Order: sequence, then C-alpha cells, then structure tokens
Amino acid sequence: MIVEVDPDGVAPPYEQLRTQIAAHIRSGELPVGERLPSIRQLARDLGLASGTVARAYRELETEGYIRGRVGHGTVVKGVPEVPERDERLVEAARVYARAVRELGVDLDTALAAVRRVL
Amino acid sequence: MTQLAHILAVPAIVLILGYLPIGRRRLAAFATSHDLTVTVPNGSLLIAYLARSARWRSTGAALGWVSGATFVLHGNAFFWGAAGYLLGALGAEFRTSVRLPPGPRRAELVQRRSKDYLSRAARWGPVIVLAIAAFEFWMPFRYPPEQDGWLTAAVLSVVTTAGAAALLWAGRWLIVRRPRPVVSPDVDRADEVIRMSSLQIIGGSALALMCLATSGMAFGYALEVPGLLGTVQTGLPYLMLLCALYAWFRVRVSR
Repeated sequence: MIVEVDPDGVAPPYEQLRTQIAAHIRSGELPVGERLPSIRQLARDLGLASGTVARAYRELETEGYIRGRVGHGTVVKGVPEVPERDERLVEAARVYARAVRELGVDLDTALAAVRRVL
Repeated sequence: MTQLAHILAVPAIVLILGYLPIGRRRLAAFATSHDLTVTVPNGSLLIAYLARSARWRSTGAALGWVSGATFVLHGNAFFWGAAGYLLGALGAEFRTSVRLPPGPRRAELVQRRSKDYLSRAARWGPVIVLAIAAFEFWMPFRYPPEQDGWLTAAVLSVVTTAGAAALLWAGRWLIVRRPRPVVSPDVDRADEVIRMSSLQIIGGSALALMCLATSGMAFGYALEVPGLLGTVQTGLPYLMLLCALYAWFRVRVSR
C-alpha cells in the first residue's frame, strides 16, 4: 500500500497524507488492527519533517480512523460513524472549493478533476 | 621475518580481494543468490553497494588484524580482524541509501522491522549468547578460581561481548530506519536485498565476535565445578568456538 505526497501540490503535505490514509482505511485496504509505520519512518521515507506526518496522524486519530498507544505504535481503529464522515466530507469539499477558486478554474473542469481522481 | 609476514600477509590478501573491481560475475552471483533481476537502474545501485561494502569491510579487517598483531591486544589477530571487519561493515552503511527522486514522493504504509530481514539464527543467536555470557560471568563468583587475574579477564570478556551486541543493535537500528522511498519495483527490490545482506553480514560477524569473547572468558580460568554444571562449564567454551565458526561462515553469508 503506497502513499504519494507532492511537496509542490495545492494541498499541504499533511492533508495529502491524511486523505490517502483515510481512503485506504475506508476502502478496507488497511484493515482494523493493522499497524501503521512510525512517524519517523514515514517522514524519512517521504522526505518530510516528522511534524508533518505527526499532524496527519493526529488528525486521523481525532477523526477516529486510527489509535496511537505508547509502546504499541499506531494502529487502524476503523471507519468513523456516518455523521462524522459527512462532516468530514463537507469539510474536504470546502478545502477543495477554496483551491478551485484560487486556481480560477470553472465548475466543469473542477468536477472532471475530482472524477478522474476518484 | 616470519612474525612480519604473519602480520602483513593476511591483511594484504584481504585488501587485494576487497578492492577488486566488481565484475559481471560477482554481480550475477549476488543477484542469483537473492532471486534478484539485474536491470540498468538497480545494477548501478548494486555495483556501488558491493564495491563500497567490500572496501570498507576489508579495510576494517586489515586494520583490525594489524592492530591486534602489532599491539598484542587481548585476544588475537583473528579476533581483532573480525572486530575491524564488523566496524568496517557498519561504516559502509552510513553511505548506503536510495536517493529521493524529484517531484512527488512515494512510500509504503508498512512498518519495517529488522526481524523481517534476518534469519532465525541471526535474530535469536545474540540473545542466547548474551545469556550464556551472563552465566559464564556468574560462574567464577560462585566457584572462585585459584589463579589471580580472573576478574579482569571475566570483566574484559563480558564487556567485549556486550560491546559486540551493542554494535549489532546499532547496525540494525541504522539499516532498518534508513529512508526507503518507493522508486520503481526493481530498485525497491534491490534496496530490500541490500538491507537483508547488510543485516546478515553485521549480524553474523557480531555474533561470531560475541561467541569468541564468551569462549575466551571460560578458557581464561580453570574452575573446580562439581557435577553436571562442571560438565556444562567444561563444554561451553568449545561449543562457543563452534558457534563462532557457524556464525561467521553460515549466518553472516546466509540469504
């Protein structure tokens, strides 16, 4: 299972990471109880600062996707409840809408880009 | 004259072998032993790794051998040669890594652990030898030997064993935590093989040193130990010597 981070992308690296890990958990590719790499390992592999990966993990933990325990590392907790997911979806849409406005592209192009990625 | 030949002949041979250029046959043998297909991108990575690691290990071994023989250090030239080899192998690891490609970076969401790369003997051998070293260290306190200097010999041997173990774990830490960006399947596989090979070489040579140091501790003084414990005490140093040979010639080079 691979994650990809583009340092020059529109979304900040921690957000790219958070989105991809959450997607892997939702699709079941990362099953409940699966151990994630340590913050330092992932940061080194991606050439990012540890704080960037730590922020992605922290947000995923707040959302209920993962659980970190001292001495046990970080493990997948599961897919959060539906209302929480809806909230996240609206929030993600807001972030995307902001990026679309910044880029100045029209609605059709923006939706086509989303369809391509999904 | 014979003494000088003894000091210089072995290191000279080791250095010549270590600095030989990596030919196609050497590369093919390494690739075959690890079920690896050599391609243009991973071929250059493998050649660089094989050349660098061979140079560092042979330089370390030669320096260790000469130091041990010249300064008549505790142990012998073989022991110090192996110690130099281990230090050289560790030194080579500081320069080994896959470079991050420009543009988007990719990584695997998998936790890396040293046990995924090591054989069972390399994983558990050091733990068992440390337990045996602790037993050997405890024995003269329980059955004090008559000759002087046993405490110095025991402390020196146990410190050497612990030192080799510390180098082993430092090597594991260094190699497993090295960045592993996802580049292409052939380069990724070559990186896995390089890690595996380095961990086995460091694991095997450190284990051999630990066995030699532990056997030296038991050979250092004669104990009057009764019963079954006495039989174990008499047999352990020879067993440790056999284990050192096994670690050097099997564990170090196993795939």
